[in-house]
Amino acid sequence: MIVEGSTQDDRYREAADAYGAALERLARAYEADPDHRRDLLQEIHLALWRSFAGWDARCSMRTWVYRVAHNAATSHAMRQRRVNSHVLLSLEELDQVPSPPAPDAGRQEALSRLLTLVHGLKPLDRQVILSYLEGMDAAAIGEITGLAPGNVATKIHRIKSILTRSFHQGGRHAK
Amino acid sequence: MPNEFPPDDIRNVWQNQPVENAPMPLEEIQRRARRFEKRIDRRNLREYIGAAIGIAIFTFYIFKFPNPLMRTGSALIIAGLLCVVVQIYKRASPGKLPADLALTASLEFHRRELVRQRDLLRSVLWWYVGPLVPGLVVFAASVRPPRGAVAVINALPFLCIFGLVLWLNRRAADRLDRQIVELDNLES
Repeated sequence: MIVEGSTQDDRYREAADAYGAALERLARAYEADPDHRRDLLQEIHLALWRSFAGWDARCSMRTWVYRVAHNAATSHAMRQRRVNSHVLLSLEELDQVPSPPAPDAGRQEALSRLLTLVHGLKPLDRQVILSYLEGMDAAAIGEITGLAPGNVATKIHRIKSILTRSFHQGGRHAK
Repeated sequence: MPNEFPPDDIRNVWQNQPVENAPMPLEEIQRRARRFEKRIDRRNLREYIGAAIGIAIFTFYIFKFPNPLMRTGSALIIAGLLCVVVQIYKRASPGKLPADLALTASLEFHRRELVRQRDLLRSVLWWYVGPLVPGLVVFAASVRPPRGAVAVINALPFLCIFGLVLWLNRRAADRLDRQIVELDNLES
């Protein structure tokens, strides 16, 4: 918990301690190339540190951190698209694409397939699926993305459907 | 071979990825932030120094040369440069995106900024080239009173420079237009 009067550096340290690993996962979801990913992660941390100069606790620290991180990552992704353009899909479009057979492999293979899926999504849908994967509920996702709760619920439904088809052809939905 | 990955565990797989990058020390972040701010300051400084040099040269001409036409031309060029500097300061400075904006609002902001910059580049004839034209015409006329074809030859370098400025800005505006379409595709 941030105490009143704490400095920009203190706030940043607390955020980096609490969300450092999540930010790295976020960077991985936006950038496949390891060198560019390291640059992106540094950009995110820089944006976060700068943002805490103006933090007024209007929202929770988690919401703040994810908003700043997603904005930095989206800007990075848009810059990279000018260099290396490829087609991005929405959840609705992805839901129409037939999935390949489920992998008969371990967690590493599953993670690799998940990253491929996430890398192909449009920014807003990418942000929703990442927030979902980080374990957030619809209200928290709505707060971070600015989407209406009903819209978030629809997207989560689609995400579950896509994940189920991609990772478990047989039946049960992802939680 | 059994499927070792239970589908209900996707979030767990995501959240338990190995961490590969060591955290950046706070001192390094502060150093990078200072470097970034210095770069912005230097860019702004370059633009103002360019205008200041132009103003200094034509101020010198006002005092150095007795020809009233040349003095008038120099004064008009100085006024034109000041006008361009004010326009750059007022219109060309990029809007600052609040870092914590939700993504839907953030994409809207990016789009507005791109549209603003594109329109700015397309109107460069009026706010960048236009203010300099009267002074340059009067100044050129004072150097060698133009008559017929000579007037055209005198004006040719300026026409080439202004044509180049307009062409470069049109090209940049078209590039921004493509980015706007791309952003629209990302949002839809």
